[in-house]
Amino acid sequence: MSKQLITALYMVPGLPHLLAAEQSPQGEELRQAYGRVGKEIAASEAEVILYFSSQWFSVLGTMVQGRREISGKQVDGNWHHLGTLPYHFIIDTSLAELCCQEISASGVPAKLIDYQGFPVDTGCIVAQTLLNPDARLASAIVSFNIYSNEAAMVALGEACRQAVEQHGKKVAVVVVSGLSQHFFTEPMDPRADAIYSAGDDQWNRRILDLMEQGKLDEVVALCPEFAQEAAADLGFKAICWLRGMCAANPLASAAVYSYQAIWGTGAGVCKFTLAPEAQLLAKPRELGAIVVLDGTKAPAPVGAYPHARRVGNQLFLSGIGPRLPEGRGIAGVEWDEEGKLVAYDISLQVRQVFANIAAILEEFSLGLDAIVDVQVFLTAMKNDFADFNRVYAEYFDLQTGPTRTTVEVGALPTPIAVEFKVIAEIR
Amino acid sequence: MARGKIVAGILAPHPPHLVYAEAAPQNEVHGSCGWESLRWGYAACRERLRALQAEVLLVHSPHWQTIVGHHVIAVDTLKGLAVDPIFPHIFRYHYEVNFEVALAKKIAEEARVEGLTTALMTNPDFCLDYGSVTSLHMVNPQWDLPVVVLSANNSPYYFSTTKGMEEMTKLGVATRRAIEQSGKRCVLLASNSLSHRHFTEEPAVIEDMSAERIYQHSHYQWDMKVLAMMRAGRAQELLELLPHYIEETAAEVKAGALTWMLAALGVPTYGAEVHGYGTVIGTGNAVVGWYEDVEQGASNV
Repeated sequence: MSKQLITALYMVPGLPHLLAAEQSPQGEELRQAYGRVGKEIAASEAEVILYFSSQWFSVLGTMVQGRREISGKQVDGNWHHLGTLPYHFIIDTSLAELCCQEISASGVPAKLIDYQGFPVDTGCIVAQTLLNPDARLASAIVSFNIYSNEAAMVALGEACRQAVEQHGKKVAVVVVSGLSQHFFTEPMDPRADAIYSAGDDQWNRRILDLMEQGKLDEVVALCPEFAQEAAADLGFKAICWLRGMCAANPLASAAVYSYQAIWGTGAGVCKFTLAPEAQLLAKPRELGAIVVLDGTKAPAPVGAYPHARRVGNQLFLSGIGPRLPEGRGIAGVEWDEEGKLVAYDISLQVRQVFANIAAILEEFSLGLDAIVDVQVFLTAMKNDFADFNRVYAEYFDLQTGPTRTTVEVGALPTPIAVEFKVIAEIR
Repeated sequence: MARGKIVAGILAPHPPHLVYAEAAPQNEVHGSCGWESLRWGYAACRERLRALQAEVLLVHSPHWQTIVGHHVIAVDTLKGLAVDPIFPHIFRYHYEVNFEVALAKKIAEEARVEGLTTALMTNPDFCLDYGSVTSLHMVNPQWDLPVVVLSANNSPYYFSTTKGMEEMTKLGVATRRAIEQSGKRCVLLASNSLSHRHFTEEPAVIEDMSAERIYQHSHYQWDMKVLAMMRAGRAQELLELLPHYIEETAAEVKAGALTWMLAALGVPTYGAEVHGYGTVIGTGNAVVGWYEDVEQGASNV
């Protein structure tokens, strides 16, 4: 249902330089991209623009603009020399109320804001001025809680999507966010504008590239690193909200209309298109989210769980033991005539564990070197640790190997003596 | 013209709850009580300042953040409605304020001499930030003194706390020189809380003091340690400790107001008066004054 109601999702920059009368070539390109977005929204069947801006932040839960008509003028705190910014919004109060209701239902306190003079953030003003200057379309605006982590932002987006579904009107979703957020801190000629550093530029291009490939989950997983390395705009968590708006549709792919610098920061104008639902249902393996092998390469699971599940750029494997592919045999065991376990070779079992893990990783085009963390479960630590440790060292070394935790457990499902639980990184 | 001087420096935190609780007529929303230890602290501070016959109030607030340099408001007057974007349900304040433009310009000029980037804010539509409004109200609710408002350059967040403190120190030195040339008796207001981690939910009755407490015990311990240093006149030691304190408590002094003020005061070795300490929605706040008469007493000793 949401697929039909959300006409498109966009990410746009929100710095007021884009409203200046005179534009640098970089600014002009961004303005043109903005113009393209505005035309698309106008030509679409959207009746409402739902804004989520990294520049409107809240502390006490989430705020939603609930005032029927908001108009006034604003002067940006830092860029006041650019002049006074008039603004005008007609708020779709029923959508606002539904957003509040759904956000509250998700466990996050939410409030409707209805105050004369409440400051509208520069980002929303810039976007509204360039996309919907005469307020022909109604708007809804949701705040960005600065204490929310990535997962909470995704959940917030999901709640807003639920509100859109209940509302029933077609909506264009606009996320106002920059990319890298290192500003030049001295006065400069806008015509000489450029991304602050080569490192920031690389990060921005990496993120945009992943978006173009429809790998939003990977972008979400990279947010903390993007923030650390390139000062991504409020952790780039606005994109997590957008991810939540896509619901179970992680393949939303972006078309990048423009990527430029504004005062050193990265600014992108992008359009996200949701993947057709039929594609999602027909080809789950192509999502890359989970893998269940058929038992020929790695032993089939002994319960209702996949071999592996991907979340962003992390791959979580279920506990993997030394059972043999094809059949229910276990590597390195001796049975008596009655089928009771007589002896086992821990070294052979450990090697089989590695083989099974390697087979699963291969499905994601990964090798053992992608493993970043290993938890090892042994049923007989005292007897087996030395041999286990020796074999393990054939695969990993101290400098390049993953982190490891080894514990003894009372028993494992099926008569196996060792099991690994690993996490790998998808590079 | 007599030489201007700083007659007091006040750590003047800006929780809007204080204005709400005292039912200030300029505020659209009136509470019934709450946060008395801080409000009474401000009352004591006002008494001290009245005796010092201040002529200008200078405020440095973290809620006017700038990226390109340090900005100073340089218009004659501003009138408007300041609505707190975080707590709009308790703070919608109608202000009208006159600015000491000559001093503002002089500060910008002296800051440039110190190597800082500066700018003058001259747009008459500018809205004064709620942090400045709250601190100015709590110190002078009559609004009968002209003010100078300085922005909080975000270098502590953008680069590092240390880099930010270097800039704020230069700004403080420049401010002192400008004041000395102005001939005015000035009060500096560092509009900062101490430990600064909020609870993200508030009680149904905003002024329900049974719900008010520090966010965590270690923050309280840190706040007390810092206040003890202020009282003991150990400002230099305090400045050296600030990065650690900020790291441990998310202290709002990271934004630079306290560093600016202590630098302008010449890094005082005389003790400050702690007028009051209290928490506001989990954050630690104190009204603290460094006074000229105490400094003179210390010099005499």
